[in-house]
Amino acid sequence: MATKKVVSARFASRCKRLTRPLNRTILLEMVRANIKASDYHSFLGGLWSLIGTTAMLASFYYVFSKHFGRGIAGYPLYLLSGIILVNFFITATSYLLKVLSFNRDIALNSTIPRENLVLATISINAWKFAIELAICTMISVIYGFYAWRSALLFIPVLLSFLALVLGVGLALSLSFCFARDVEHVWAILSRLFLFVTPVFYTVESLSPTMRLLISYLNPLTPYLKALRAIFMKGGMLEVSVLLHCIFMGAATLGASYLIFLRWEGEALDRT
Amino acid sequence: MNEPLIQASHVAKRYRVLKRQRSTLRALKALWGPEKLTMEVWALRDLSFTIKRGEKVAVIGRNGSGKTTLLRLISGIIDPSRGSIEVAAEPLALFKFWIGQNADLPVIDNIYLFGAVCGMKRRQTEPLVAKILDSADIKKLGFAPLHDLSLGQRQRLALSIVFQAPADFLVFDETFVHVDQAFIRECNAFFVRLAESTRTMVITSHDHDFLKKYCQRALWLDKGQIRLDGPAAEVIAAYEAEK
Repeated sequence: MATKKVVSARFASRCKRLTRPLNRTILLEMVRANIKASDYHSFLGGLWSLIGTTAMLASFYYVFSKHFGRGIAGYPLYLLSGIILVNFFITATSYLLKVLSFNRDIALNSTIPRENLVLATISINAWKFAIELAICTMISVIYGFYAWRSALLFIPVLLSFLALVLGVGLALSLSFCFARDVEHVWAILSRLFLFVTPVFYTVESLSPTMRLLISYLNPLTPYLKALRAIFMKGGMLEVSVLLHCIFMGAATLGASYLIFLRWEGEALDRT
Repeated sequence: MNEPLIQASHVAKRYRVLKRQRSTLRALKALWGPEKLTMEVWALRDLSFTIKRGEKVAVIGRNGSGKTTLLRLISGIIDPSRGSIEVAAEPLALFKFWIGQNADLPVIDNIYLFGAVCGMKRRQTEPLVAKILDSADIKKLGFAPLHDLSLGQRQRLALSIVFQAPADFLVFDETFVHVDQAFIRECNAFFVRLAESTRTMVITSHDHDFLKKYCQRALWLDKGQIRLDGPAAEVIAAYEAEK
């Protein structure tokens, strides 16, 4: 009962603080600074992430196109959409994992809301993800797959995906404060997502049991299905997939944020 | 002026700290066994006080007496473990001058960033940039990365921004330690203006002459409890007498 009271009191005060106009200014400046600093002293800057994605796409295409690419129109786009989604999930969660421990000094010595630290951290990856999505859109237009109604679907799909990433990141950042092992466990687990998500193969090519497991136990599958519907099927997205995405994102972020509010103090003490 | 800004009622703050060297075996034992890995340390115990709008209050005490914890509670950075603390306005809190700066970015970007932390929008900060650089005595270093500046220059920069901030309620934790003589004039001018204004300030410092000059009231913390609360000169004299 006491925990519920603490969490609801914190939730109310945080909401008040986060929605102030001043906080928007702080967040905006933090995002601007983070994006600027991420490519500081680099000649190619943000292009490096595009070079990495392109190299991955080329190698995946070379290895898998003959076996898995047959019968998939626009297989390079199919691959690219999978690679950018999974890469964003892996890199953003890996950054978020350390957000509390790396920013402990700021969290305990300034009035900057901790949520700002989380949002500013994810902004670097989100910015690069947005550029990659724009490239996917251009390729989709070139292939003739894109329909302008797809743009409307982007909003709920991307917002719920960001909610999922934030939710997973918040949970990881809390647990990292209590046990550094989380970093190693996540490094192994997150790499597996490249293979247990239908990045280079189709769900239909799997056995019925695997199909069920990958569709419902892998949180990334519905988002990838939705993204491909936007880029490759002219926005013909099944309602059940869209609802799955929204539910998954909202539930993960909601649950993680409540746990975060309850444990952030103890986590910072332990860091 | 007489309305309360901060009302603390039986506030206590507990931290959990490791009581032995942490090892995997001990951590696992603590998960399932009765022996805990951490122990409780009460930084503050049963504090009750009120600070009115416009008051300038010094918080004094020995190292580890709970001064910083109290300022963090007042600033809303941490929550009390027991009791309640109500603060009617969010303060501009300065604990460490390098917080809210990005060392890789140029000084000017940092002025905007730290300006935002101090409550200033970009359009409010823009006309003040030259003045801030001038006041921090780094006029020619606007485009240098912050990590090229010395710690003293970074401190002057942070304080020069704070001096321009429109905050009505300020919290300073040992912020003016190691300020050089040339910059002390700027600091004094700021505090003279502050002392004459209706702004509220809560400050910790070991410079008692400074506190006596600019604060009317002092809270003496001893082992997490209020030992004495009253006019700054009297409380500081009592504290010094005991030392």
